[in-house]
Amino acid sequence: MNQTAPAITPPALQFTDVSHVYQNQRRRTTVLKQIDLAFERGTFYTVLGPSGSGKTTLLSLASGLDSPTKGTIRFDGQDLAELGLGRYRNKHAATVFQQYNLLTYMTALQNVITAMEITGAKPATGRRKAHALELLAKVGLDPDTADRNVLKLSGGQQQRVAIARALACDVDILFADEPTGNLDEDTADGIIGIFQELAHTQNKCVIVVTHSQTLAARSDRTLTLRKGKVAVGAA
Amino acid sequence: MNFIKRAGLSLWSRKARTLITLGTFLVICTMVLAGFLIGTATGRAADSAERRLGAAVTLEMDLTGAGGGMPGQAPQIGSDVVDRIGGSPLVAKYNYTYNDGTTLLGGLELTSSKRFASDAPATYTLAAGVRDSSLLPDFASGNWKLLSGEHVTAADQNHNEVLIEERLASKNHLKVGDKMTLSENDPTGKGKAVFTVKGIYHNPSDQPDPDYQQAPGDKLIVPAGALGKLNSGGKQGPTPLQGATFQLKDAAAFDAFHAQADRTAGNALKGFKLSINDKALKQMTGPLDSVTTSATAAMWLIGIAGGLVLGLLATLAVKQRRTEFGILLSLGETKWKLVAQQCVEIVVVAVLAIGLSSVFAQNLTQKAGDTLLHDQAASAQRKINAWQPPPPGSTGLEQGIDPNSAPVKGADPIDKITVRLQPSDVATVAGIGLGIGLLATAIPAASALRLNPRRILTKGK
Repeated sequence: MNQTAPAITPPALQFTDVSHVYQNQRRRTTVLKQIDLAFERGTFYTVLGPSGSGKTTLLSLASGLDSPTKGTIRFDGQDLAELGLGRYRNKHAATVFQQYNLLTYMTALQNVITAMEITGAKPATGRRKAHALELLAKVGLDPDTADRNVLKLSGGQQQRVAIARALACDVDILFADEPTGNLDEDTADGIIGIFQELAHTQNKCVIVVTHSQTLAARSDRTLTLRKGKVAVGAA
Repeated sequence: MNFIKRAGLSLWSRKARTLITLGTFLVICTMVLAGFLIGTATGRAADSAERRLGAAVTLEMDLTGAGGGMPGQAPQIGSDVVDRIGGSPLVAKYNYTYNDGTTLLGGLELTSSKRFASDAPATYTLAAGVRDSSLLPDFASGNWKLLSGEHVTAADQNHNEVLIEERLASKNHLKVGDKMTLSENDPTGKGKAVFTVKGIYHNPSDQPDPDYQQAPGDKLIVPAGALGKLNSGGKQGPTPLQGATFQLKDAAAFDAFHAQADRTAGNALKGFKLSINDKALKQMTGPLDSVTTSATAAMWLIGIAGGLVLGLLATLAVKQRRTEFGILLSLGETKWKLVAQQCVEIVVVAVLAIGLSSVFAQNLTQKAGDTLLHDQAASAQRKINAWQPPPPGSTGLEQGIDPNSAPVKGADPIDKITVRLQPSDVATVAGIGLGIGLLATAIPAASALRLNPRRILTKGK
């Protein structure tokens, strides 16, 4: 009689022996060195470290914006190279950039709806506007602000639009690079609350790169990078 | 289809850039459309002139080839052979002229007292034997007019009939139906025949014929067959000719006609050549050709320059939109949709530009075409008017005048075209405009998209 071994659920995201090198004409810089990491669903992670420690590069590789020079990154056990970075970004990962990276010829609302259209995220076409307004309201933007071109919004408002856009994608892993850097304390607190809710009630994996110890203190797990290596952290 | 919506949003929010691109496209489309419209209008005018003139093919002695006939004699071809060639379905009409001397008998007088030759009788003159007098260039062009009676036709070849100029008719009190006696070409010979005046015509010139120095009032026109019979002692038979003119239904059929004539005539064509004479057509369409050449050159110049400007605009736009590409790629948008969005934007602008240009291109081109053509036609007309034949008795060589360069009468340079905008013209310009636009957009866009989103968003740092 055969016995079936209990299924082992792979981590949402797993780095195995990942190194990354930037090469220009004059020099070759190794930014990440043989990183092994695992990120689980239902967990809110923060990544700390001094400037140049490789935080942003780690985020770029994890979010599928770039491929590692060496090693493999797996999503739900599947190599991203096989899955396809475009498909991974489209269906499984969303990023909140430090520079917001909004589409400047659109309003806040159009930015959020565009993200839904590209990723094919729920709800269906007819309800997208209402859902986008709900998400914008969740980050503290009223309908009037939602109808303004993003260039006419303050830095903090643009940051919130970027967060709403990432939420609209309804993906498994949410990445954010200094998402609260331009926000006042109350708004930042609200955004952190949203990240916690995503991880704890919606079983998402949230990975935030930050210099903020306050933010790190409210995350479930923190890892610290130094000179391209994980200095402190749990994996 | 979200890329189409994005294209619309992008065009609407970047109004200044959209207007600049639209303006550039409008100039390109209008100029290219104008070039096409002028090209088709001049083409139509040339076709119309060609249909009106037909294509004259001349059968004449081949001065460069091996001569036919007896050594030292000009080659001749029988009128029966020419009639067989002229029977081709490719021929609209044909004619031949056979000149020979004759003497007016029975007390008739010529209009000029100047003798043809010192030993010739006072009434010795030239008769033109023709197959159909209405096809003579001077009659066909309207320069000469038949005042009374009828033309000599192919059916009259064996009839002794004659057309006389009104001055000769007046001097001798002749009218249609009167008789006049003509002798054979040898003034000492005894051959003569009575001819009936079939028609009286008017020649406005008072200058003698440059080839034979014959006074214009003294020219007789008779059926070639009748003249041949008079000069062959009354024997009926083919008239020996030194050439003929065939009017083809279609100039493009010349090669087929040539081959057919070779088959039909065989050795009888030895010493002759067939050549298409499009001098009248060239005279009429010369200004059209100049205008078409200028318009085509301008069209290509503007098209290429405009394409380069558009390419530059598109490249700059793509450079400015690298971040946008990176953002969309980071959201998982596919690269082909990004290129498609750029293409939709340029297509929308191109369609607007093509639509606008087609609204006023016709009137604009008509005005531009008329102005260009008027100048060219006026210049050509001045050249025609300034042409002078060599003085009487001169070949023109001393004066540097080529008698063969004489302008063709009744073939004035065309000075008007009718510009008509056809859907096919708009379709062609649309194809070219879209081609230029898409090429100018897709290449820089595809080039920018070779990078991964991180490199795009960090500007390659």
